Amino acid sequence: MSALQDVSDLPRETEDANLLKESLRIPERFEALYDRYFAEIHRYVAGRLGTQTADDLTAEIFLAAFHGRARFDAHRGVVRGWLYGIATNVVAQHRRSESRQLQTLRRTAAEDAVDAVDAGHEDLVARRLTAAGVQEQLASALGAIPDADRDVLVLLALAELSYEEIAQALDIPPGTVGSRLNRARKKLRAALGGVNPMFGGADG
Amino acid sequence: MDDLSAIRELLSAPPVSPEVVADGRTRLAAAFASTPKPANLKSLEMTEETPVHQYKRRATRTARWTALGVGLLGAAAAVTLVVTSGTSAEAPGTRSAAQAPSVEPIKKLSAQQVLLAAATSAAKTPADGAYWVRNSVTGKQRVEPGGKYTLEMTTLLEWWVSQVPGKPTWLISQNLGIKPATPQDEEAWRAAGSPHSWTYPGTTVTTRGKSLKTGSVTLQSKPGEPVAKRVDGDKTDSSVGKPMTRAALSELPTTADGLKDYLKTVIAKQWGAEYAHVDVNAELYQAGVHIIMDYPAPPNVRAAAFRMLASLPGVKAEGEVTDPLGRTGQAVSLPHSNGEGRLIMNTATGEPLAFVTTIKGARVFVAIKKARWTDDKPDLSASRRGSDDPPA
Repeated sequence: MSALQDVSDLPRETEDANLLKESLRIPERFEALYDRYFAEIHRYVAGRLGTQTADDLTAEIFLAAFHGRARFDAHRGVVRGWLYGIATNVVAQHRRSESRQLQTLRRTAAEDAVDAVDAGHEDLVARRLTAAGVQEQLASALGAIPDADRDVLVLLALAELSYEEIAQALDIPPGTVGSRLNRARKKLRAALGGVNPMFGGADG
Repeated sequence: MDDLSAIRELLSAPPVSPEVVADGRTRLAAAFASTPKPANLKSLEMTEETPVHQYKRRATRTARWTALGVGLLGAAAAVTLVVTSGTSAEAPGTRSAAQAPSVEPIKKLSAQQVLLAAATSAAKTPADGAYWVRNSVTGKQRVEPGGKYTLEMTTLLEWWVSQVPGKPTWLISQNLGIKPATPQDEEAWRAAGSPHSWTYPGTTVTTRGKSLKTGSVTLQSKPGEPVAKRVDGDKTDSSVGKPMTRAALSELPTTADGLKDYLKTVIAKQWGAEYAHVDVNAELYQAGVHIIMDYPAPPNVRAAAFRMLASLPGVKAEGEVTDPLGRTGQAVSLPHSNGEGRLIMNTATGEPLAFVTTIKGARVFVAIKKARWTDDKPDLSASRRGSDDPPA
């Protein structure tokens, strides 16, 4: 994590923090943050809990953020990470939906594999089988790792937050982010190593 | 394909429908409408007021006991460490260690000695007054857009917590401006033509085929005006869903062991199943520093916090140092995996001077200018100047 990388984060984070601060006096300012982040928070929640649940919950997340905006501390983190933190707390309240979603994804991947066989063309079948196999294995491996580890891993993958931002979003020390990620990725690799030799090549 | 891309692909979701966005916006607008506008500061004298907002507490995990204002941002800058021949925190820092090479050998107090001395002093601090006022400077460093030097942004925060439970807390904040962080940075800044503003270009974030352009942001070196805001109730922060009100603080244990046991239960509750992986020692250190730095805890609780810190393994003495505001004090530190957390204090008065966190070479500090009970009242007239309230 270089200092220069921080630089590219600066503009938006400063602007966001200002908007949030202003929204304490002028609530309508919060709408700009809603417009800026609704789609990506929805995508994150939909990825984890399914689109339908995300449709129901994303507005809740922003309402919770709006009501809790006085508690945001710009010295502790960035608004975007803070929103993901709230979203992750909401996901944590819906673990059953999450495991259902992962099961659905696993089933879908299995069906894709069947479709691939039906489709003919040997090389294409092989490729699609592998892809479907990876997805199926990945969905079950993700379901098998501890919730807290999965939260960190998925924040890194979907939200593309830095370690520091994940730490801030979840209120955990950065060292814990690292150790949870290592644990989670090790388990994923163990579960997937046999399926796709290319998997795990790029290691964080 | 690496594992993160695989996860992204697996958990990819279709774009949100416009109806869902619109529906959410309507609900938010309803919330705006039902949010009482904060009254103008002009009309809010320090009189009885009913709480304006009832902020919803975050449902699951609430704020951890991290030191107030300690973030993880910024670029590296070492804490200036000035070793003098003095052993007392009262000894004025000479800042010129090099000029006196032959003075008596440096006597360095142990971390335990430093912390226990501070504990003894802290126990004697008076705790009478209408308000607890805490005035602090928070510093955060950033590399300038061109990457040639580091800037330091500082912010003044002043809390006024009423002695009377339930009365509003006032927070006066002021942007103190931006300067090059160190003399070397200042040199580089001059070489760059001594700019007074820095523009960071916007970036384009592309996610799933949708790209989002963010605007550029310009930082100005000039300080801002003080701005006051009212925080309802007497809480200053919360821990595991329990706001640290005056009442909660007065119930904290007053012995080192008692406090340690209590904080362990707090930490265990916060971490749940993760507790097995937690560095409890580091968490206790942070919690102890937090009580000392950030809360109007009773003198005997603050003394207990100092004593608890003295009992933690791994806390080491750093000798006499200058804090980020140039004051001298005795420092202790606890290393963690990526850096250290250093507490600088005045052992004679039991007052914390600063807490400096270094993580991967990046530094963030909170320096306390004053933290005490007083019969003074917050200067809200001063803050009115900076008020950008819409006209009433």
